[in-house]
Amino acid sequence: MRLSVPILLPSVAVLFASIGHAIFADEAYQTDYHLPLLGLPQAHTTLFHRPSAASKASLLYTLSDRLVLGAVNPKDGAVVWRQQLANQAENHTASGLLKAPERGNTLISAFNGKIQTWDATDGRLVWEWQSRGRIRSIETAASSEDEKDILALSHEGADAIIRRLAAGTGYLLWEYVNASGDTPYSLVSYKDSVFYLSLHSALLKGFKIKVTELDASTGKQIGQPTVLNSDSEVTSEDSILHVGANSDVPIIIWTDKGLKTLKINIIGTKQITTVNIPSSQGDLAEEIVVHASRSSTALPHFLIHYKAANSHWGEVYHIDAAKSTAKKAFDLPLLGGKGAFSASSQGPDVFFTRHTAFENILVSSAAPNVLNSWNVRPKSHGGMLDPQDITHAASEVIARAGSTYAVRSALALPSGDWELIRNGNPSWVRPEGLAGMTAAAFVGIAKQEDLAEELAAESMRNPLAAYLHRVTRHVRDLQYLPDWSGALPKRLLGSLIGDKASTYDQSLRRDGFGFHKIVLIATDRGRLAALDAGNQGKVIWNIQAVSLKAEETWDVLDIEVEEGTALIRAKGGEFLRVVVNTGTILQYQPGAMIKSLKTFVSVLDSSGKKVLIPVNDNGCLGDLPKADFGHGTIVVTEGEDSVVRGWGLTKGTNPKLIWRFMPASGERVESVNVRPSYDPVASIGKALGDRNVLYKYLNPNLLLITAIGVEISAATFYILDGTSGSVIYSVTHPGGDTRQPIVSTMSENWFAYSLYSESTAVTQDVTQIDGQKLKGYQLVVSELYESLYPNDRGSLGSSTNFSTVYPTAADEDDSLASPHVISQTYLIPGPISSMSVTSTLQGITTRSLLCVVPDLHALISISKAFLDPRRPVGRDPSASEMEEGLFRYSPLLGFEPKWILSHKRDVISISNVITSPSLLESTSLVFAFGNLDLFGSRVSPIGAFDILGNGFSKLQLVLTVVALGVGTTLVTPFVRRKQIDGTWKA
Amino acid sequence: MNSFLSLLALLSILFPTLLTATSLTLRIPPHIPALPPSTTAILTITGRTLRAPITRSNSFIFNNITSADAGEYLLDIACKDYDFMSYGLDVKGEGPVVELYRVGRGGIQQGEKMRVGKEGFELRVVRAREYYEARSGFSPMDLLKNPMILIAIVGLAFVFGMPYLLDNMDPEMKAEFEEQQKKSILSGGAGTTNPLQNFDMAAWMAGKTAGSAEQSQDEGSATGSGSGVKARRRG
Repeated sequence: MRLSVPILLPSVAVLFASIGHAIFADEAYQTDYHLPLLGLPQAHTTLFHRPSAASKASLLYTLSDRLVLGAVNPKDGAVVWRQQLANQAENHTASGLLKAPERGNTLISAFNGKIQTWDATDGRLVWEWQSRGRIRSIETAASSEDEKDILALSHEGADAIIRRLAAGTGYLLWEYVNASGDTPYSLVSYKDSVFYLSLHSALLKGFKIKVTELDASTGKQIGQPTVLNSDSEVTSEDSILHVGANSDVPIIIWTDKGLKTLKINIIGTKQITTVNIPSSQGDLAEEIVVHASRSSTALPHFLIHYKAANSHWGEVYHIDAAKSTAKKAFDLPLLGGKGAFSASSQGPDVFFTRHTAFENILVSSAAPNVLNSWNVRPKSHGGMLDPQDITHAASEVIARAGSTYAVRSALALPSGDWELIRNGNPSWVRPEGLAGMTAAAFVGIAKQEDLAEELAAESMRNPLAAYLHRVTRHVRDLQYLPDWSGALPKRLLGSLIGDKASTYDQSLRRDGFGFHKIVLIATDRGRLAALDAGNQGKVIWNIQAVSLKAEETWDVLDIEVEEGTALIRAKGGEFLRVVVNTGTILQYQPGAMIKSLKTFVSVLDSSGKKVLIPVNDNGCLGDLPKADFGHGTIVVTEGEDSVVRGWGLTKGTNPKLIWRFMPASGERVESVNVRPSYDPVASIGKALGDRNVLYKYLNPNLLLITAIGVEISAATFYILDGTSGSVIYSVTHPGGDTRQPIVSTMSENWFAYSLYSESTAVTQDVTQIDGQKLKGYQLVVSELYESLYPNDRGSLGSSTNFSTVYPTAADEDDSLASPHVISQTYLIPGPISSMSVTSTLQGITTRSLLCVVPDLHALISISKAFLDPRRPVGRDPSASEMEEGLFRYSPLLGFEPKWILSHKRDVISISNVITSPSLLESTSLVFAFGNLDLFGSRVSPIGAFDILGNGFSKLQLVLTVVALGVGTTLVTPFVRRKQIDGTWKA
Repeated sequence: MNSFLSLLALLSILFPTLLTATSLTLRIPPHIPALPPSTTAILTITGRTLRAPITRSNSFIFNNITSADAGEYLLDIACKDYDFMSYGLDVKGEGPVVELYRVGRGGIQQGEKMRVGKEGFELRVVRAREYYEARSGFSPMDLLKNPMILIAIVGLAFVFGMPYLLDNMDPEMKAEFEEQQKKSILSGGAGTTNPLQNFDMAAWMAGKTAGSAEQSQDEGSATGSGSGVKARRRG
């Protein structure tokens, strides 16, 4: 034993190094996958734009429905940079504004009251300006310089305020306040004037459009406002179709509610051109969109796009600036299906690109002849075979010498896919429709049972028939031999040189390591998709599972995986059964059939059959189906009234309320956590360094309830026994900030939570150091043991029976059998917004805590070994503690870069992490999802000890063996001679 | 700058209740290259967080700090490329006055409080963040440093070096050495070394004296493997 201490020391050091599982540079980007999403691109905020005047290539910019401003490289669809304009907490109903000044190197965005300008090349902020009201319109001032000043219209109380902000700095140059009480609508910049457009309520109904002219350099009003007689048509802001801000001649176009006439006015004049909306070949327009070039140097031509139920057509208009009128130049004929137009310009020339399901047509604004057209292969449109509609498009046209044209178009499809077509050839697709994931689940791939079935068939027959069957099977297998032997040299060479890509299995088959799994995801837009976790998260299928109205969301509660199918449960009792491999919907039950029904939970009855139990919003159970639950099952519900209830199911249709849990007064239940459904425990005790055992408190029915103060800053965590409802342990953090994320998780015999806390008067004496408040983010880890003493099972030791109903009282003397809890707190550098635990097949591997760090845009894996509450405090560990792998406690715990699973990737807006075991004990699969991105990886909390990593070179092994062989052969004669000589000499 | 001041003047005229505001500029040391656009400065206090994204000039600017924002904040820089020092930030009084100081984790003040003026404050970088573990690749030097290999090399040196040393020895010394080697238990080359191996069980059973047994052992070590046969013959 004396000897073992110095020998153990280096092994502890090795262990210490292995605690921090790190990512190897050659594994990064190979084992993990990430889909950086933007959200659905919006029609008016998607554009091709040169990031700076000197730049030759343009980038594709968009401000999405999820208020993410991003730049995408049109070559490969990779995100160049992204910025979130709104926090997740802010509501996303308001849409954002985006302007890209010509020849400038910035982009201007506005959301709510904030105007921000961004460097177009790298996405860093140039300046920001906060207004007190909502920004209604932003416009660039006409100026000869490349950097243009910003004009902004904001609605503050009853006033409309127009401001001019200096380019480059955002300093206020002038401010114009209009207190007329009209509804501010838009701004148009034209030469030395700024036109302010507002909607003035007419006497009876409708709005008159009021145009106020301001001097662009001083902000002084010029003359009296012009009032346009639009009150018979304009009933709301939606009636205005277009305000031509940047073309050479500013125009405004509006229509009536019934889409009968179009009115066109050149801003600054009183003259209104009236156009009767044609019904082309009997189809009635249902929606009208105006497309015009953004460039100020382009010709004043615009296109009116009429959308009918199942067809579309267009009309091109030219503006005669001298006469202040607009005149129709030519028609673009009616075509079937929903198509999209897009306008672009090069110098003075304006081009319109028409996109239908089958072709791209390019026309010039000057003449109706088709400049070029391309057949779009059906394989475009997001990989769907059926041609789809196109929601909207943005194009870039480059005219080359010899009247050839290069056209790039970014098409937004109804599926949510965003596709780039270059000269009719599909270039890339971004699955933006996957943003807004609400639920996800890992699904294992079913085993290939063919061989097993054939072998079973052989064993059932008589020997001769079985023999013949076997021979025919082998003969049939021979057909694969040429392919197999042909691929053999390549495979051998690949495995020797370490070329992993060539040996990688791309097919959707179960692999030997269990890395190949399907991830099912459901989004709030009613989409359902399957990704291949073993193949860089490739989308296998992506369907619209439920159809939703514009503002509706799909609240999926959970996804339950069954044999080959998955059950997706949404709010209101809605559920959907889908085949995992193909995405075929087998069964669908719409929600809201029964009022106040929240969802169903499935419970196994005594015969092992699944029974669906309805749960209502108020936390009570609905009518039970007829089933026998044997000795009873407890269903725990969390009601809207902040009460947690335990319901007992036995025989009959009436559930019995067994217990209720209400937090202390002034608190409300924030969340209820249970141990993961797959949570294997390898050992019931913890072996200490001195060969004693601490027994873990392993109760499968534990609940971890987080309650937060309603008015005061406080958080309380309760550990409950789910069967009896008894509180086993509770801890309160006064000063816990309830507006910061408070998250918790539980596994095996331990739980962890994180919160932001500032000391308050209650604990002043404890936490104040020299009169200072202790504040910061904390991570608290607690372990539950049956007893404080090793080799002791507490009151359970002497008892022969254990009651799940009275877990805290021993049977005879009623002495409390509550577990012994050891806790430790760590100070962490930032908030954690989600927490979960790795899961491995046997549960032998030390678990790791997976935390989402929203500030760093990262997912981090903190090994449980680091968070052991038994780490010695204020002293160095003793020899036996060292043997256990414990080291000295330090209250500081940094987010080490090497622990970050997402390494250098910028993973934003993830809120949930799910895990699944692989077939290797060392490795757990991880998938993180949320409002925007999805990220998947594999994590080995204590290193991949059961698989050869990339660092293992087969070539090196072979060379070593060969070298040893050669060495032995060379040395053999010497050794033999020496042996013989030795014998003779002796 | 004038226009900015005029804005302040204008705002205070427009909104008499509004107090004077100040802005806080935090600069990144000039030797640090442009930071990624996700970099953010975060001020945290109970119930509230303020954020400022990185600007094109590699700095963070918190605008419109008023005396309504008074309090003791924690200042953290969330950055993918570098770890920054943690700071505390106090906003107090009219103006308002902004003071910065170094803090340890837990918000405990560690340095002097410094008043931040218009010129801003330069943040200190602690270290660059290194995400990847270097894989220990194959290196012949590492292989040589392995203790097993070192033992093997020393062994080889003995095997090949000893005969050479012996040949170059003084003849007297050589004889002495050989004598010693013969006596030594470990010596004997390919021959038997252990005296117990030559223990003559039959002779011992037959009641041979200790002296003759010793003699046979000496013989045995001298003549090698044939000794056992001799001893038996003698018995």
